[in-house]
Amino acid sequence: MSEEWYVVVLCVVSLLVILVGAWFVRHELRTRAAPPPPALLWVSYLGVVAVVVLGAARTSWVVLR
Amino acid sequence: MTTTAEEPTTLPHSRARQVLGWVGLAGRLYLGYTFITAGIDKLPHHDTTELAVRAYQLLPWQWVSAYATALPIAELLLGILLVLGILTRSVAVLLALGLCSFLVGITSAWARGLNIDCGCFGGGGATTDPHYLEHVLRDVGYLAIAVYLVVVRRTALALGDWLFGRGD
Repeated sequence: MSEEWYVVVLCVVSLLVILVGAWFVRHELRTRAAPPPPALLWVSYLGVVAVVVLGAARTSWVVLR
Repeated sequence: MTTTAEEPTTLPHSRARQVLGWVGLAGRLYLGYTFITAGIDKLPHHDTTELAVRAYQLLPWQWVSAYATALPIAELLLGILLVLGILTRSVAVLLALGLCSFLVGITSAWARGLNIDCGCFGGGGATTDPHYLEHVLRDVGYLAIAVYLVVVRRTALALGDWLFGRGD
């Protein structure tokens, strides 16, 4: 696999992780009898998003430079 | 009348949840043991861990030492929490994120044509015989266990249930 394609796949997978994460948080809030505070879940989700985005951006930069 | 009508549907459902909980316990112990082992293998060898992290050429140079110090401690702590069943789902999310970062590290080294040892259980640095596919498949397996622990919600014999009344 070329380095360019690696970055494309990495970005697609990262986007999927972010979308599945958002679906999961909404699903947790809808289906749990006693869900944690929504703000806590969404802030945790944003933390995960930040790690995924920064990780994907840094790796893409290193691979392509 | 209502009780007899509900029994056939609720009993198999609750038995299925119990089975899923025991499977979760097995996953918790296996993944927890794996991360405890990885942490213990790296903890006394900071220089080797630092060399292994540098070999990936992913992190900024000045961050590598701090990362090499924090990684084994985090692996050890998260592994212990997982074995005990405390904050299982939160720990599983953190481990899943960590495993994703390991997968990105290994696959990016593979894509860049680097020849390095993964350093997952100590060691690391340059090697003539990297086992990228083997390491990727192994980490995907670990990731599947972590995702299962997030999805299953409750596992058997979790200390968190006893301490907080829930496992997450």
